[in-house]
Amino acid sequence: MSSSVPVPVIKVEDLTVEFRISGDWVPVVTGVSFEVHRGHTLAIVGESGSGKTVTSMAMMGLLPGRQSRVSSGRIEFEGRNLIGLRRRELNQIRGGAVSMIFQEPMTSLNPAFTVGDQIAEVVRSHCDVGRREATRIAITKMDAVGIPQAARRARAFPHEFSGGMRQRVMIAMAVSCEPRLLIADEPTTALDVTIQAQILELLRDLQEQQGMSMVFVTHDLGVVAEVADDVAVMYAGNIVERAPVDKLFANPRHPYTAGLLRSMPAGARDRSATIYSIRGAPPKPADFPPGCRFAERCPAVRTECVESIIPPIELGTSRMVRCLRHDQLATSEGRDLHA
Amino acid sequence: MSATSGPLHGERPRMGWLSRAMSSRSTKRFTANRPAVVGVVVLMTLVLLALLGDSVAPYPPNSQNLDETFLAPFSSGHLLGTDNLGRDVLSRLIAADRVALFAAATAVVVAMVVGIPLGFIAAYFGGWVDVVVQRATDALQSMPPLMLAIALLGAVGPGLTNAMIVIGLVFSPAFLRLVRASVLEIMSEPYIEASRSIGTPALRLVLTRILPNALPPVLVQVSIVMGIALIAEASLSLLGLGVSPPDASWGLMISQGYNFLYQQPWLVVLPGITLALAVLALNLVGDGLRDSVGRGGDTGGDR
Amino acid sequence: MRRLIARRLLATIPVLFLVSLLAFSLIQLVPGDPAVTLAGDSPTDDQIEAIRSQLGLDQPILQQYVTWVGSLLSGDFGESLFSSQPVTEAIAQRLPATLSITLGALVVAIVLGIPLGVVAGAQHGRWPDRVSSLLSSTSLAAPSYVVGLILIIVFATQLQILPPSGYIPLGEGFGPWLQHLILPSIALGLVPAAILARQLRSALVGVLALDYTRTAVAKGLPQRVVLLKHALRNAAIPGVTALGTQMAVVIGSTVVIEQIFGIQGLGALAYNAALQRDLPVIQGVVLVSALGVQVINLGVDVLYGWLNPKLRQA
Repeated sequence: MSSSVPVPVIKVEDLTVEFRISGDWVPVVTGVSFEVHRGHTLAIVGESGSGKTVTSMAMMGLLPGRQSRVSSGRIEFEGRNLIGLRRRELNQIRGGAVSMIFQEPMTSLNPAFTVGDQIAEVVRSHCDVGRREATRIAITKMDAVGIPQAARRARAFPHEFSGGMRQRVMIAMAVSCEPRLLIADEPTTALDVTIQAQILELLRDLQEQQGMSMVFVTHDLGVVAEVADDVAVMYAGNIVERAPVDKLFANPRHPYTAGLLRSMPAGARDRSATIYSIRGAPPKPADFPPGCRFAERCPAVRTECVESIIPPIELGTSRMVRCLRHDQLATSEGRDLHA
Repeated sequence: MSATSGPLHGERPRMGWLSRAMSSRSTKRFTANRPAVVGVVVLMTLVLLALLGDSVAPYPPNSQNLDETFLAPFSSGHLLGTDNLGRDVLSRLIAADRVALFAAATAVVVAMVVGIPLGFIAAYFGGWVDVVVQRATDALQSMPPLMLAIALLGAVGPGLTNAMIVIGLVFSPAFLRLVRASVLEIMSEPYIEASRSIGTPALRLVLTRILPNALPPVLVQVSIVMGIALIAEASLSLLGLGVSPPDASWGLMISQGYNFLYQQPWLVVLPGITLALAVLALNLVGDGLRDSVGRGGDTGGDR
Repeated sequence: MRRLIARRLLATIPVLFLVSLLAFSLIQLVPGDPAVTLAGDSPTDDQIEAIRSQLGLDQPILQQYVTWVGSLLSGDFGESLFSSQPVTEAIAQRLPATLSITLGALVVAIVLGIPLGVVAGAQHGRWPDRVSSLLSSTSLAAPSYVVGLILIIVFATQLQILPPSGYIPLGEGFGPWLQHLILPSIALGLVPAAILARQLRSALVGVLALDYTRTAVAKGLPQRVVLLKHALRNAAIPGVTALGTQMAVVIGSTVVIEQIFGIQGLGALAYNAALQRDLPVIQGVVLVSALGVQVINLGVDVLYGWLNPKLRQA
């Protein structure tokens, strides 16, 4: 099966997830598509409620069973559709080839077991090793993520670690079986800025060492600039723009992306300028309008925008945007639209 | 708790608490809980029977008729049969209902009268008062309840009133602990400090802020303790330490009926079922209350 | 861990002190002149005086208490007012029976309560949960002696496969001992089982929604492991506490159960003593049962410490 284009590590195609809200099934994420290749990092960026966490949870099959469902689309891991897999098969992949770290390190570890046990547990269930060997590997990984005195600390309980250290434990747990894909759902949001930088650096190092791909969910464009190769901007359940990171920052083609970039307080800009923020708020899933979901807040809106769903428009390789007016934004006249 | 709450901003004043309670979220959640509603209906029937008592019962509960002993249920003139002395079972069940409800109510009232003020005092004044109250409660709770009740009855002498006061005492720690914990939690809330800092007199603070918020969990506890008290009364009567013959009590009817198991098993089964029904109803109501009111069930905002 | 146990033991001392005050004050609660009331119907003056001096009622209260505690600590719990048997001897005779049925109740509570609770929690909202909840509600409503009576009617009288009454000491054979234990243990253990099941269910539902459960699932662990290892370990804590409280109640319920099943245990002793107002015996039983509850609490705390690592250092 030779191909000049390698199979992407993960490929999400037209994913739609529905939640049961007040008895009805309401789509909260619609038509999400992206792919990530070996060794690359995709950042999914958006506000709270944009659907980025739902997407990441869907990828791991962690959506709550009774209130949510994937109603259409595919999630292909190395060519294999994860949707519809039986639990046992999914469990072979989860934690091993694909792993995830979460936003709240303080509550993501089981308080009843030692840290070393919890890491060794993953190793034992995915790599075929015995208890002692698993513990040894766990200590090695704890060391690799920068936990001092790993051998002693492995016998400690989660409540004896600080937030940053707990996140390192989570990372150790996630990379213990050398996964091909790591999904990180806002792993640094709950941490101090200085720790944030350390964790990001750690993740990049691990990625280099292991050739790991990453899907990094965040709301912080600064973090995006640090870690991402490609960026997918999500708004109200859609990906509204997808581009390589430098092109996105230099030349955004969706008004929302442009708005986001403008609202980053940056030292390089004129200090006397007021901080820009996009007025209004995103629509709730039950209130998604029939046309463009950003139309209500968009400075560039036209009548055709609100009529029907905006299709994804491909702009060359690895660039996509959902905006009927993306051409205008490319010109300097378009940039004036945001003045 | 912020600048946007209070009567000026649309929060309904506490004066209309009854109307607020009737239409509140909690009431709606309670009525949606079917077993709980069934429980309420059963309870109200029992209370009604107890209140109407003699007017509803077909015969005086203690009147004997030695010609008609051990009749089975649905015999003519005796819907639920008669016992070994020809007394009508249905009438005795109703009389026992009255005894049971009165007994349980007494016990709960005693428990509340002892437990609630003490719990409040312990929490409000703190310090060594709190320590003493807590140690005393520990000691009281360090004994199996029934054992303690029996010991106390052995000292003060048997009888229904004594028994129920004793039961009430034994279960007062439940209310005490609950109120103490509630009050402590409320007193540490910022809005209490805020009220204090603007000079609200202590008594008013207690009456308008602390007590109304501390009381909902007590409501849940009341139904649970009533159920336990019912069973306790029946146990004590069964042992002969509570209601004494010839009066009727479900527990007493069960123990007396046990002697005649072969002649008429219904004499044991009927009071047993009635007792179980009453307790079940109380438990269901208590569960319903806990699910719909509980802590913060009514005071929590939209999530 | 050892510090935890030591602290717990230390904490029992003030409690036992207060319980001794309570037991002592029982005599003071007797209406009228205690010596007269306790002497029974139409007592002679000699009998009244005998009781007065036996119970030390002629001494000032403080001295009474001190003397009484002194004899307690040296193992002398006094003598029964009726049989003159030393109280300690009477208690020692009856203890094994009560201990047996109490332990039996514990076993029943665990064997029934844990599976019911776990199933209900894991399947909450669906039919196994509703069935389990209904079973627990019904068990809670039936007082232990009603259950006991029903069990006797069904298994002993009708089916005749189990004995209706009596207690056979372990020394006389394991089979008979066990046989006589089954019905009373079930009668005593149903309510604790129901309460344990409920506690487990609600705690489990809470824990299953927590972040660390999600982590366990994300690790690709089988459902069984997530439930029984990760979730249950944490959800068990309130269940253990509830079980401890229930076992204390069970000790009290033995009073009634021993009557029904004709078992000569501590409960029966307490009951007869209460009927006869045999205060020294009552006092002895009060102290012993309080001690029993303390032992149970100690066990609960130790288990608690094992389940919850944060407590080990506290």
